Amino acid sequence: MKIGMMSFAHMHAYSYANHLKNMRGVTIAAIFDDDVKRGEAASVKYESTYFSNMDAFLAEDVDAVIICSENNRHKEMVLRAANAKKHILCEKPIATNKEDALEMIAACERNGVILQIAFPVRFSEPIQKCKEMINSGEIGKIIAMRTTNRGQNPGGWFIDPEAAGGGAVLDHTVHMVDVMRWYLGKEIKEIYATIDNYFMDENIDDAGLLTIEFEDGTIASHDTSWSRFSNFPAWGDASIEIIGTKKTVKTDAFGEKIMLHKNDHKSLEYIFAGKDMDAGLIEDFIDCVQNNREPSITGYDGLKAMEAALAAYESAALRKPITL
Amino acid sequence: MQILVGKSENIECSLTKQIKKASSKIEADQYILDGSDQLLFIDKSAFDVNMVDEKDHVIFIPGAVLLANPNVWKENCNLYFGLESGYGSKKLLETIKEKASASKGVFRMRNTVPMNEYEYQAAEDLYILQQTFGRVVKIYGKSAKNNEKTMYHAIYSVTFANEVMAHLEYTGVEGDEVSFEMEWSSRDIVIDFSQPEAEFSIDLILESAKKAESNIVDELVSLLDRVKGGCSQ
Repeated sequence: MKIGMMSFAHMHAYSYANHLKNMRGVTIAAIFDDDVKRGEAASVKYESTYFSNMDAFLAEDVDAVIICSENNRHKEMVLRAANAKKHILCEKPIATNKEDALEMIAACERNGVILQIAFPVRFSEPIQKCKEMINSGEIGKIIAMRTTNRGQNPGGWFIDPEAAGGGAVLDHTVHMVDVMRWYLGKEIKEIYATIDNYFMDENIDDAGLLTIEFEDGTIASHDTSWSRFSNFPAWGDASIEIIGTKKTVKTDAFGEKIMLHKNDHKSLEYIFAGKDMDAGLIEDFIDCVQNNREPSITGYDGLKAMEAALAAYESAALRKPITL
Repeated sequence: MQILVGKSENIECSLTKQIKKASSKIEADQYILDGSDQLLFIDKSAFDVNMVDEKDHVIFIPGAVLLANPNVWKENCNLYFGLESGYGSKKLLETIKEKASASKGVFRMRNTVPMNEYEYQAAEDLYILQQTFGRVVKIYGKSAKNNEKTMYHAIYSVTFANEVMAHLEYTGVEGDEVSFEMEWSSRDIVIDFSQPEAEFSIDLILESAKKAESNIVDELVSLLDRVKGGCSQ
């Protein structure tokens, strides 16, 4: 299978490309990036052909593309890739507004191509283990969930409101909202949020607390931020606690770790020791394309997660709960 | 006689007091403790509010218990607050003040309380948190129960005047392990504390308890009204 990479603006592109390179029967056949230096470097690293022209890239014989551009460029790239009949894995968030997301979903449906959204947390083994416990009835009926996704400020275009469409709240909320929707099989009914800038001197949000109610009455809290500083022992977390009628369970997608203590400026370091969730995401997407099946994480899933984050911004601005 | 009302599982032994335990008012009446180093402990579930009518008693009750019976308090009542009565929670709040000025940050707390008491506990906790984070600006809450109403979870989203946003969460689960957790994030600072269950020190309770004066009672009742007004089910 031939895969094309569209932009390395998002750092996840390197992780996805590393996994593609290790997969038998898969090649990174072409790389497009409008940042010439970055694109050429990637083409050398992944032994691929670099294109600075998107049309020329899309004319190549590739089965699917992985889009890792700035958030506000997802729409343009998805529409053009879909029109070129390429299956698509698009980095999250799907878009920066609802209209763009709907247009992207419609374009993929019209062209008969797969649109999968990159929510790798679904492929974390501890997160999947909880899903199995829910499905087996071991946890009972879910009453509430407590989630966190706190990480380091990624900098660059992530802190440009135009390119990113939002700060930490958009960047991180989509992951855990997707996991909660997946666990419950229900949609969000209402969101109340407090959003602010506490952790850096940039004109973009870096802290948010969301209070969520799902359509079945389940409630949830979500703590999202870029609060983890450079000397923090780990990048951050993606944790969930599920309070069920039979059992309460708690897990963290980054929870499998080795603790390294050293006589250094950063005296404690957590070294992730679990299976790389990005590998599961990429394997799933390749399998989806090979078998031409419905993606496990659809464009609609991406839309609903993004809607939740956008509702949080609206709630914080109006200082009242927003009904979805 | 000094009488301390509390949840027996949460109370640690005292280094300074000799403790006698009573499980009912009748049993309590049988004790005569005269020494200043002696204290009678009554489990919250056995506490009879009529005991406050006996003027010879000096009673220490949790703020949440007073809120459940706001009209029976007397001048011989002293209020204590869970967040000031455990070494971990007290130290965490002190550390937030010392290391992070208790401003421009995110505070999260999760605790376990008996069914139907979470609103009282939230009001009690807010009273103490106001002393660290400034006055409560806004409260928004959600709660959920199971069909049998034997367990629940409540989430309060609170903003404080010192530019602090907070989630206070309370769970009532029968026979399950739910930890007591508190954490703080602000610029270049992360502070967290957790233990299997909230534990209170008798010595800290006696040291930090406040006379149940009308200004404190009024403030607690006002916070309870705001908690109830901010919560939808």
